[in-house]
Amino acid sequence: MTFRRRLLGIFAVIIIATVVSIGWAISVRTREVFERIDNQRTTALVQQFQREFQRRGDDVFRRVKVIADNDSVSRMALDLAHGGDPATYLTEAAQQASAHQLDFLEFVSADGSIISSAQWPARFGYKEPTQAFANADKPFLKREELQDGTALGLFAAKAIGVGEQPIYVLGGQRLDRDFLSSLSLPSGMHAFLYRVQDGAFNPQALIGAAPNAPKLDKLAPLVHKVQQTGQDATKIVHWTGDLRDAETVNAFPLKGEDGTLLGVLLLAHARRDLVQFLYDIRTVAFTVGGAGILMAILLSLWMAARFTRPVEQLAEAARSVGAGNWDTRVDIPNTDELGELAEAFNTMTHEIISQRARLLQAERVAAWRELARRLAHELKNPLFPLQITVENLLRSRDLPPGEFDEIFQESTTTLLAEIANLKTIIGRFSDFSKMPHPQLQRIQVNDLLKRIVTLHEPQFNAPGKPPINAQLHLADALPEIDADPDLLHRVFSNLVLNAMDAMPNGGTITVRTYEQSDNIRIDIADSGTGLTPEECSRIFTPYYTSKQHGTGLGLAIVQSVISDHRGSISVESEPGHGATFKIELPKHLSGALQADTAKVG
Amino acid sequence: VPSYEGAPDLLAGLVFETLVTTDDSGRLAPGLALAWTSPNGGYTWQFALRTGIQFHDGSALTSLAAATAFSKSPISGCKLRQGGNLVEFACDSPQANLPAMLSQPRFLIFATTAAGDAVGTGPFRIEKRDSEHFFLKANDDYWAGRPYVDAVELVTARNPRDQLTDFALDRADVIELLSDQLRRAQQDHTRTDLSRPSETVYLIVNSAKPELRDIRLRQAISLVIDRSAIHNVIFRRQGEVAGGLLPNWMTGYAFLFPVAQDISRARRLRTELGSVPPITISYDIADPLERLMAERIALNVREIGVNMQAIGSNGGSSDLHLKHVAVPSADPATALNGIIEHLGIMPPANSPTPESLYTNERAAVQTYSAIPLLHLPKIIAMKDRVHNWTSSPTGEWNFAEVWASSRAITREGRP
Repeated sequence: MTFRRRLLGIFAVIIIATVVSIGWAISVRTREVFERIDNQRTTALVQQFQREFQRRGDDVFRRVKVIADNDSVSRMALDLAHGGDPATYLTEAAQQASAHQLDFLEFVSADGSIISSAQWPARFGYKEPTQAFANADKPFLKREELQDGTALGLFAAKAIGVGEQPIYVLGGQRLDRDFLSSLSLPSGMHAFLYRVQDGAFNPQALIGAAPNAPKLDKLAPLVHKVQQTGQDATKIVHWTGDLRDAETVNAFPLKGEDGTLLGVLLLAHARRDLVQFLYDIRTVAFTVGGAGILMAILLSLWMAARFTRPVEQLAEAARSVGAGNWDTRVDIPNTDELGELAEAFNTMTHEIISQRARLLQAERVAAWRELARRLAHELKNPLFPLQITVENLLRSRDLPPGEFDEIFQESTTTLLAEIANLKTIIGRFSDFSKMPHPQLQRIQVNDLLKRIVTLHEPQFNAPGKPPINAQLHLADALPEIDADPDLLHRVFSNLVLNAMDAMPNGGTITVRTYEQSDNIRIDIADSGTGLTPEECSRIFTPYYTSKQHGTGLGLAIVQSVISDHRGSISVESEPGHGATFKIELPKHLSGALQADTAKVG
Repeated sequence: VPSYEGAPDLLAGLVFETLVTTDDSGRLAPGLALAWTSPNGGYTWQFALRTGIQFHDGSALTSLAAATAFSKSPISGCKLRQGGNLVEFACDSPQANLPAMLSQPRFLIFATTAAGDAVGTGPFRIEKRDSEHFFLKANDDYWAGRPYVDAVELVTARNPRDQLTDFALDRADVIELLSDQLRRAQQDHTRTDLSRPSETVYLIVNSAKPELRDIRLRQAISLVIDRSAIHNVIFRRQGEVAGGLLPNWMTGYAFLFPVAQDISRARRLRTELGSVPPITISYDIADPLERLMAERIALNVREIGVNMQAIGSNGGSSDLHLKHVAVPSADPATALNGIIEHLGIMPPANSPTPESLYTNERAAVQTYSAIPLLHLPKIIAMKDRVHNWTSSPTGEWNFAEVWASSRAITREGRP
């Protein structure tokens, strides 16, 4: 990953994280605030409902009291107290209930016998336990058995004490759909009433909801919780997948006079406004956040570009210098650290150019000196015999002809030999200056190495010399490569001869081949005297030699040939532990070499 | 009478007559037949028709006309012959109660006009019929003398509350009252008249219902019903609780049939039954007392763990229903057979002696397919301008002897 991308990433992450964090914090805080407001509103609405509920209870209480104070009811009580026939008043409760708009009304004697029942006239004579309401001085909830099932009612009781035994007026309003719908509920709120019954939650027992309304089972956990704890409970009920359809449902236990849980009042308050508002906030947050993130990315791009452009310029300049363009300069107008870095870079390249020029000049001088020394050395050896021979020939001019002829013959022979030697020396220099271009063909290096070892086998075991052991460790199925077999033959022969020279006391020459990904590698190692690090560093320099004889061109030619094959050669050695020459040659060379040839052409 | 289905009982004695009638004491009295005799111990009965009697269309009542009317309601095991002014029934077995049987409304004598209408010989003829209204006009040629009133308008299928309204608004001179209305009427000093218990309320079991085919369930239901509470409270002690099919005034042994609620025995029977599905009892929605009674029965039955639901009759089938059956004759044996036949409890049985009558009635009761609940009187209220009202033991209205003050009654209740 580039520095610019990394920088861009860091900038972007920091800014996005900041924007998201701020957005999240605002959203959470806003949600908390509005939840609290909503809870306060719900509490207010619930209190309003409870007041309305209480008011209706008081209304029932008042109506029951009015009935108890009614003249006809008083007469009835008086008549019954004096042994009147209860049958006479069988329909009295129904008439009074109708007149006072009560759903339930019963006249009950002191022993609990129903004298008259509006809701179930046929129950006359049956018992209604008076202890449940005899002392009730306020409205209470009561479960009422009816012909078609059970109903919940908001009841009130009043005793009429005209005789020794009182008669009770027990009246109430049915808590049903009509009752719930008649309550003055705040907007957005609706009420359910669950009649507690045995067994699991039954949607049919839920008053105020459409009987077949779907998903009423979602209220079951809330009802169950109230049944379990007997305490108020609240739950957000999601009727559909749309959060706006959710409602906050407050559940309140409805208990009878004896504390028995008779029903659960459920007040549902729509959350649509709240959720819609939160949606709006979230939309705004997303929009602002998105815009912020977009701006952050653009800003990051700009900042990253601002920071990394000088670095990239420096990197490009460094690459250019690496490619040989020593006069590359970096033009960064900044006055900051990057500007100083660019200035230092420019100074560095300037110094490198200057030092390189001096180095080249020094090397050139040294090379000429070395060449002169080598030429002098090489030429001095044949010249000295030439000089002695010519001088001897001049001195022999005064000798008798027979002796002169003999000396002359020997001298000319020597002269010719030395001249030939000079020509050989000159030819070697000429050959180095005119190295032929590789003529490529597919060759098997293993075969070539085997031939070379075989060629030098007699020398390894030459009589009178310490024996040299040659070991071949050649890779199986080594691929053929593109190479000039004659030049490589010369290279490997040179290295083998060098190895032999390095082992005057005998030793082992080890030849190994390896296959690498795109190359093959040839190691030629000896167990000779080894090289010093300085010798290792200079051993491929032309005209350098550590031997008493030789021109110092052998390894230079070897390096030249390997280089012409787009390969590389190196040496590893320690004094006393032999030396290993490592050659890497590409498997395929034709195209590249032809291209280079064309380029050269 | 097919043409006037829906009000035959009411029209009996007014428009149509029988060969034999009953007097106030329930004894047989001559009707269209002046005399009757059985020369061979009940195998053959000969009825001598009154002479000079005409149907309302002017045709004469002949033995042939009477035989034609009887052919619409044949008596099983008896062949009909006629000749002169005699109508003769020749039966395969002795029919001691045949004259009493012929006093039942189902043996009214009528003729059929060319238009297909039935005409009778009674003191009133049907002037016009409009749905549930019968406009009767005095038969000037009535053989027993012209009625005092010129016309009578009968309104049928009128619920009790509307009847009271009609009565209060002077739209009606005579109305039926329910038992619970009697006390108020008496408190209001309204003239009332109660017949003897002449109508029995039965709980009819729909034996097509599988769960009710078990007689133990039917018996348990009969045992758990609190007849006394129904009688005392709902029907204000009018009539009598019924354990048998016939009221006590007819037989004198009605007390032999148990009527007390026996919950423990009912529960034992219920326990033997195992699971019982919910059952329904229907009632006439126009009759508030019947509704109350049905609901009370349902409440009683719940005490033995059977869920019974009272439903207003809407033509649908129910497991049980309440039915009012008028005592068809003042003669006990005739009445018993009439009831048995009417309810389809069992085949009619010959009851020549009180013992056999009791045995037959007990057998009918113990089928528990029609559970008697109450024997009720017929209660009427009448205006002060109605005079000379005479009660019939079986509750028929006898306008023939009634006369009224001159104030005319209009539909609007204004003179």
